[in-house]
Amino acid sequence: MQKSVQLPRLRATADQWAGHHAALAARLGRPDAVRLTEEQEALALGIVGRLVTRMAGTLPLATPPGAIWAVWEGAGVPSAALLAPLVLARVEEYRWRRMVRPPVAEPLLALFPGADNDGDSVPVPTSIPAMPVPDSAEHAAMDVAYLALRIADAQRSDAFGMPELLPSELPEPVRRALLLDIAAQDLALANDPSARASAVAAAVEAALKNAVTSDIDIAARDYAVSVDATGNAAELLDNAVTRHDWLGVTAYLAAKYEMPFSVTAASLVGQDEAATSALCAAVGMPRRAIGILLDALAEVPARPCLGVVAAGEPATPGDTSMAEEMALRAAALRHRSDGASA
Amino acid sequence: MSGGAILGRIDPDGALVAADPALLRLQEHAGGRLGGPLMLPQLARLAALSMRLERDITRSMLAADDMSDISAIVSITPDEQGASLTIRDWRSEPAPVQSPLGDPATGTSVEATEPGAWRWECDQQLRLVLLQPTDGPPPVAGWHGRSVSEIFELEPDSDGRFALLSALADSRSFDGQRVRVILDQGAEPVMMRMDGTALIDASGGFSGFRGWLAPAEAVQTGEPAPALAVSRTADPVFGSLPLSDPRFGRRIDGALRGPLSRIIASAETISGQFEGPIRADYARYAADIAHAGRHLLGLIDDLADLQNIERPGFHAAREPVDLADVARRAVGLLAMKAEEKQIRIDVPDVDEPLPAVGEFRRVLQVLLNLIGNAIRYSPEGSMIWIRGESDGATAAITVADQGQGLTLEQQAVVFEKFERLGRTDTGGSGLGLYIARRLARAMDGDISVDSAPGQGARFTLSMPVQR
Repeated sequence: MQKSVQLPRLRATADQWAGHHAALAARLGRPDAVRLTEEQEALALGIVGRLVTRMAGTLPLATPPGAIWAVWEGAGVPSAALLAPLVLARVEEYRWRRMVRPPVAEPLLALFPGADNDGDSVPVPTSIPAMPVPDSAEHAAMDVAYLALRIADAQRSDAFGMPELLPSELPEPVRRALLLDIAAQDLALANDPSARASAVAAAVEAALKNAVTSDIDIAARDYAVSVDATGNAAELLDNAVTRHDWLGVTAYLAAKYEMPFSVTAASLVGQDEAATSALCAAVGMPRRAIGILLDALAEVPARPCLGVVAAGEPATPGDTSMAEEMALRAAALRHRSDGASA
Repeated sequence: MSGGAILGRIDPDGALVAADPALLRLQEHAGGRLGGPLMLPQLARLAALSMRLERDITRSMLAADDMSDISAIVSITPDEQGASLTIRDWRSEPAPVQSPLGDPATGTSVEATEPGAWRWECDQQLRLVLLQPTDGPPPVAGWHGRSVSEIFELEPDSDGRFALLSALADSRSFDGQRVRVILDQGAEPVMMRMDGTALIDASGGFSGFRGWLAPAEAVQTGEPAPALAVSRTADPVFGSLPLSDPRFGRRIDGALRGPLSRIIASAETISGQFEGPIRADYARYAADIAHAGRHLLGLIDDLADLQNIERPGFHAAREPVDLADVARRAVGLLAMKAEEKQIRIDVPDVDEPLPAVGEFRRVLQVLLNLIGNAIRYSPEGSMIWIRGESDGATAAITVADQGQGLTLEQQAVVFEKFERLGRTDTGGSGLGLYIARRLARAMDGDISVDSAPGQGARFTLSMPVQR
């Protein structure tokens, strides 16, 4: 005898899949659209998170600095479109510069001639050995400039060596927009926003009044000047490329083309070979070095073609007062969070 | 990064609520945090799938952190409160410039996650280009561009050597350099230990060191410095790690393996008389030293395995394996040893596959142990048989020898830790069968023994078959 069985009903899953449907539709509609790799996305998120937290720490906010990013990592970054080119530039600079390929052979023992790699026969140094002295004042100046460049570059990573985009590297309109968004988000989270609005606005205004120049760009300019002063720029560039000293190479090009350091690095990664060759040849880089540079750039996986925001390009209208603009942003953020919770 | 399992937990909503440092670091690099949604898309999808299906899932996983792409095997076990994540075989494509987080290959001793750790970097002239704590403001004012020796007073080790200076001499990485530093004017100096990875450029030139500094112990006062409190029993090599800490095992492993390998190589050079003839008894002594060294090296391998498999949450991967094929490979690896004793080994034919489920390298390790034992304890010129059979649910492979065999009492204890059945030679550590059975059971299999005195022994590895 057959027994009737009540089967559970299949549930429609359109809602659950809505996000995936939209992603697939976009993919099918634009199969040639650029997509970031997981690595690029992870790096970009990390950089923005550190930037937001660092900038929030400079303002007298009611919420802890990390709270702003905690909200934005779920709800989205308000100035995302402005930040994206700069963040991607830093991502690509980082991905390229870590690709130094040390040779397989053991390094030469330059400091203690005669020592071999057997620990027993290496003389036991008991003090810091005297280092070779630069053979001219120009080379001494270049040595100091390069040290300053390395120090400035080292500040662009967090304590774990992860890349950072420093506030001083942001063009003024972007820095302004981000500071306002952070302050506005703080007000949106606060219980009594109107009481604090003017104080926060004043802090943002004060922060923006101080003209900021990026340490790495200053150091890059000084380094390029010191390289040129030796009268031997072509040979020094050739040497830097051979050593995969992308810090020195990028700094020199950035100074020569008066571009921000990170944007210069990203341009190299994103440009085609002809454009890079022309760019490097114009500053006197030898053909051999250009070849090595192109080979190294070709090893960077998933190279993008960037649309880079030029420094100083107007990004937000600036006619309204700071307090008014921040109030508008806070209202928009509150509206967004209301919509999300509804 | 590789070695022991990395553990984590997610709650039913997919938030990462607990994580070992490596997993947490990956989560943070992806823009997430502890308590927030799991930001590793592939892992999050697998975890969601596992919780929805309410069953264990083991898959390979690809992820990326700021430094490199990472491949790993992840096992997810769902329960009522979420799911447990166990990540093994974590392989990070090595960054061309070595990771500033410490490099296990070079034995750097400072962990980035140690409280009060500072990152440091210098150029080839030992001028500081970076000094940054993981928490709080820069610890020393005015360090920019100054020599390491101006900021830190280097301390020699017990042999009067300075690890940093020796490393500088031949452009290599170092660890265990003890340094004193004065943090505040008029304050007592604090002792720290320093490691550094040599930065080598593309032309082989040395361009500096990058590494970590961590608190060692208080100096002079006898009291630990308030912010830098660590055990006063801290050792320059092993730090203050408890014995149970997996890092202790790794450091012991690293500290012993190198010297032992050199002892063995030197002893073999002497016993082989490669540098010219020596007295026969001296050559025999050297051969004994080499033999004992190899035994100790084997013991280190066993102890490393032991520590690994006895960690809570240890699991082996479940992948299709052909037991007959693995057995043939194991025999191939042991062919020299068998030949030395003119032992013949009868292996399954290539057209007799024996499919099962387990982790290939672990199955190979088990069979190397069983076949190696059979060779070791079989008489010269004897025969070893390897046979396979399957009943549809379980596949079994048996290694049978013509050795002395085991009594029932011996069979009862043969799988116990450090059990050598009364043998006192240097043939083994007594850990091999214990480890082999633990591994087999971690793969839902087992090892059994069947023997009688004078009739040889039959060890059988049984493994589940994929349904």
